[in-house]
Amino acid sequence: MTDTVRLNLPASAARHSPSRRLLLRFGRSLNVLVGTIVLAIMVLLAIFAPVITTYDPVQITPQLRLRPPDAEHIFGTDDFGRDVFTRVAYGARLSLQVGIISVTLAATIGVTLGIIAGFYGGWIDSVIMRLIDVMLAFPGILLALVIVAILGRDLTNVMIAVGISSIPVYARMARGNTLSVKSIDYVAAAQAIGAPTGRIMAVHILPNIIAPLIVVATNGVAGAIISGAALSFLGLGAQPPTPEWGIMLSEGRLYLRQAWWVTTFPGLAIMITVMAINLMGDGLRDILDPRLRL
Amino acid sequence: MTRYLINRLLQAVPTVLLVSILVFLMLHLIPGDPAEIFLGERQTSPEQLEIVREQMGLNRPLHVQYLDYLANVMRGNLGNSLNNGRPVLGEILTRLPHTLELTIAALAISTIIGIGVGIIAALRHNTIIDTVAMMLALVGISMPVYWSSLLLIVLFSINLRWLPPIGQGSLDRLIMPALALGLLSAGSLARLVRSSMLEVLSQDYILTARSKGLHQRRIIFRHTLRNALIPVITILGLTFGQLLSGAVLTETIFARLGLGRMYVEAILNKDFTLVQGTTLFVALAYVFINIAIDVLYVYVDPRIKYD
Amino acid sequence: MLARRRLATVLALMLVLVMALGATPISAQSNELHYGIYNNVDTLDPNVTTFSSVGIIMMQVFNPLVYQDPLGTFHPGLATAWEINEDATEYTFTLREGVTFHDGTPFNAEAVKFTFDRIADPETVSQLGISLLGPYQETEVIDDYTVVVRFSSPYAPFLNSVSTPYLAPTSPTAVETLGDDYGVTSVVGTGPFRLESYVPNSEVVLTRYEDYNWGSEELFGMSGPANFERIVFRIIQEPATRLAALESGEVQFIDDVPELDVARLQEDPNFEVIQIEQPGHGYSLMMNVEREPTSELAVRRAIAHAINKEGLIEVVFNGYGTPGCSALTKVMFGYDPATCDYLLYDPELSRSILEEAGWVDSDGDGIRERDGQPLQIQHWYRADSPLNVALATYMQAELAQVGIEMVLNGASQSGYFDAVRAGEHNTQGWWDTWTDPDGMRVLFHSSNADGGTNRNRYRSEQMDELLAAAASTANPDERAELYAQVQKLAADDAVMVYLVDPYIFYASVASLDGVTYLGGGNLPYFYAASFSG
Repeated sequence: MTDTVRLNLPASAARHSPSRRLLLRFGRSLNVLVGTIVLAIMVLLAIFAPVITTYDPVQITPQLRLRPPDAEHIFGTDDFGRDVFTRVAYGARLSLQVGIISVTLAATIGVTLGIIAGFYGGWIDSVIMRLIDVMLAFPGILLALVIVAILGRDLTNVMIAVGISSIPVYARMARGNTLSVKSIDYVAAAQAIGAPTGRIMAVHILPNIIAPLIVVATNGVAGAIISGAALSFLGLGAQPPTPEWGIMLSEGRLYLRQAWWVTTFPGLAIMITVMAINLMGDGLRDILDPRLRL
Repeated sequence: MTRYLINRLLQAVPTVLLVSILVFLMLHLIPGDPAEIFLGERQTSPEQLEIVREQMGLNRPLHVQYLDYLANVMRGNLGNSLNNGRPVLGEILTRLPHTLELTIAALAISTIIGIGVGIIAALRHNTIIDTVAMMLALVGISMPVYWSSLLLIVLFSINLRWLPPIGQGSLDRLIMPALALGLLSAGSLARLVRSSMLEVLSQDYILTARSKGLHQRRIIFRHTLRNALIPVITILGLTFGQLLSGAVLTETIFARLGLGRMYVEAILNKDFTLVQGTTLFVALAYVFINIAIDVLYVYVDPRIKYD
Repeated sequence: MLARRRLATVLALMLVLVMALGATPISAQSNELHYGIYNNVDTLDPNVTTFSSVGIIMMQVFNPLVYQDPLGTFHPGLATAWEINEDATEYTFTLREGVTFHDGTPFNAEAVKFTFDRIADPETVSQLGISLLGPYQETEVIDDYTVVVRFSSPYAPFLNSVSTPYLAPTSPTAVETLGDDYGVTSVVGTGPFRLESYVPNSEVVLTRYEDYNWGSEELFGMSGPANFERIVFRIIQEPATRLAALESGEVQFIDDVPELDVARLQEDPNFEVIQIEQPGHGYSLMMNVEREPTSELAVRRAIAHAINKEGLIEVVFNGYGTPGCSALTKVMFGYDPATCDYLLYDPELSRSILEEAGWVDSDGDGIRERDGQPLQIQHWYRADSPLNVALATYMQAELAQVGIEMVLNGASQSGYFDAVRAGEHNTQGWWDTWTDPDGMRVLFHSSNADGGTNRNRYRSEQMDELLAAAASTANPDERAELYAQVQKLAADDAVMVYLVDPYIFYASVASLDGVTYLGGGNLPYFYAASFSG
């Protein structure tokens, strides 16, 4: 079986070390390259926003209200007369954090739980999965309110709230795929030899189930930013006038018909970020998944 | 399988109970007094507040309140909403059919479009079709539901005057909200299906089947799709559950009666009886969905067995 | 590809279905009015409710004892004549004969007594109604069509109170029969429309009461049954959707039109925009006088002078509104125009007031300090209202310019109530609508200061006395003079900042005629309304 996998690689590749080979495969995929570059731009934007932009993201200038995009304001101005491009740039920092950290939190915990449940089966599976059921059925709004009550209002708690609510998705997916995969020959073989369970999970199971998980995770980044903004209605998260894409998206919807740019550009920013992360995720999957050939 | 099902049904009881107790406790934990919320921004004397609290039964110790409630549930009485006095069961049942029809319609749309687009993209991997399909999926994922809803309303209600923008009970009132919700999950489904199919398409038994000369269409539907279905089924099940209780924004924008909206408002009003009643429904729904998913796993992937 | 073909077929089928359905016109029949109402409904009982939406809906189902149109002018309603004694402690009403409730119960003095006693009873948990009753003592039935209402202290605003739907007579039979269900499933009044059905969060349906024949000929030009057969109130809370419902023909009348869309609708010949200066109290900022640093008069004065109201109107209200001068809006009886000179926008003055009080920016961070403490105030607001968010954002920026740091605390409804009732705030927003200046006791009277509506926590014997005196004299000139003093005192003590006197906006299809706006504009009345042509 393993021979057929190597068939398509150029002869030269066989001469490189495994890590070099990985790098070559990575670089070869144009998609991944584009994704990485775009994401790098976003991150740079997040860090260097004050340097790149000329306007103040929070200063209110009523006379410049709701200007459509023009030479002076390439993304137009919002209802307070603030430059939308500046706010999108400054918003990168917070929004990237919300999106990436909450998904990472949810995925790490969820996948671990899912693999354990799927691998061991039996009562361990039952207990973990019933707990996951409880988490699924528990209303997200209530969870967010409880977090506000106990931990307070800042953005970190948004990430926790969104993260925790998403754990069940990853747990269920990971478990489902683990169930499929654990009966594959080499997993059974590894168990027979007596390989430690942790190693089996990490080396044999995880790579085989990771593909859909990466897709779900990258899909989840946009959802996390948007859910995070929804929580601002409860007072959770970034307080005005702090720019954050999700909140700009949500508040701007009042102007969708009269001033589409106020809500559209933050939306595009989210979309481009998600695209970039998706592309990088594809690359990650290519590296990790031994079965997939491009 | 029967033993497994019985097992799962038995496990449902403590699960639902646990959700119910947790929600009850958490609702008490967050700040706010349902009596105060009920009275709103009006001049209130402390006596008035007391009367309302008494009428709402809030002065009893917590465990008494909960056990009393449980006893009533056993008798089939879910109580009355603290906020508007109407029977909880009635309120839920009024909204259940509308929520169900929206959920099913949205799920149908997202399944057809999502799986369709995903398959096409996988089969046309690395061509322009693949890229376009994935771009569309991306738009679907990052477009918030209020955008798509408002755009649909502007197009179909205001400009074309084909569809009414609000309400429920007829097909023409269902289409736009179902589309808005369906397109949202169609995007993520498409990406998932594509990824799963790509994975399976490259495996050896597919190569073997191809080399045997089997017709491509048969290969897809017999081998590929089945094995790619596990993650897809999982996501569909989860989406179904999320749509049941979480379509709040869509319900608000289209002014539709729905469980999601009712649930959120009840929580924000700290309307204990309404929250508890809806929680029971939602928890039961999730439990049964998850049982269904687990049973489907077995049929789809013969490698999966439950001990 | 099979999948593609299947997809196309399904889409085509859907399209055909849509077109088939789209063939049915959406516009309602001409004897039915659909009203897209913004606010939710808490109970159907106007004697108990706190919601203005219930006031609007129930104005069609109930009749008040007197009508008030315009503000300050009273006309016979269910009462044909009235007499007020010299010190306004006794009101004698002569009631109209031949009136029946929707359930057949005859309307008489007993019904009036029953209604008022019920509202005054704490077990009923009436909110608006009970505050409108003031120092109510009792109602005496003289004969079937004469009642005397007595107060324990003089109460001038009572005529205004009985002109509202919140004190409208209700059927004693219905209340006794339905018990706890009254207001939950049904209500019974004497109005031109009766309640047909109610689905919470969705709609209230009214149908014409065919036996109605005591309409006010004087006010509405007719006295028989209403023109519309049915009125359906559709509850649509999302502003964009409400507007879309009007523009798509789904409803023919909406309230709470977003300011952004007013201009566009005004230019559209298919629609009509009704713009009314709102009576009562506009948007304002309450300042907690019991909590530092707003406990300092200097700080409160500085805040009042620091906010540019014109800019605020521009940004938050799209230019619709006038700068607030007083706790009363400019159309109110008792409004004193002199108030517009009291606390003018003057940021330089703000800065000098603060400097003199010892608040200096010593470390150059833009925020003033004194004795090591920064000049920081906690502003609380409900985060689920975009309007509140916009107001908070604007005020924060204005105050920053004079060196005050306004910390924004947005919260959900319950979190907000918890905080402001306990007095954890330095500032919070307020908005109210009344038709009698006695409404100011809500803001300034010490009895409301402990977690009640007086979130200024302002206690002043002088203010209490002024408010009481103004409510006890029936002489309008005396009342106006006393209220002028109330407004001056509030300004001297810099209790609140008055931001905007807003407009009420309604929009309807151009063919809708005969709508009267009672309650100073708060209560659209459809008795005489119909579609022309």
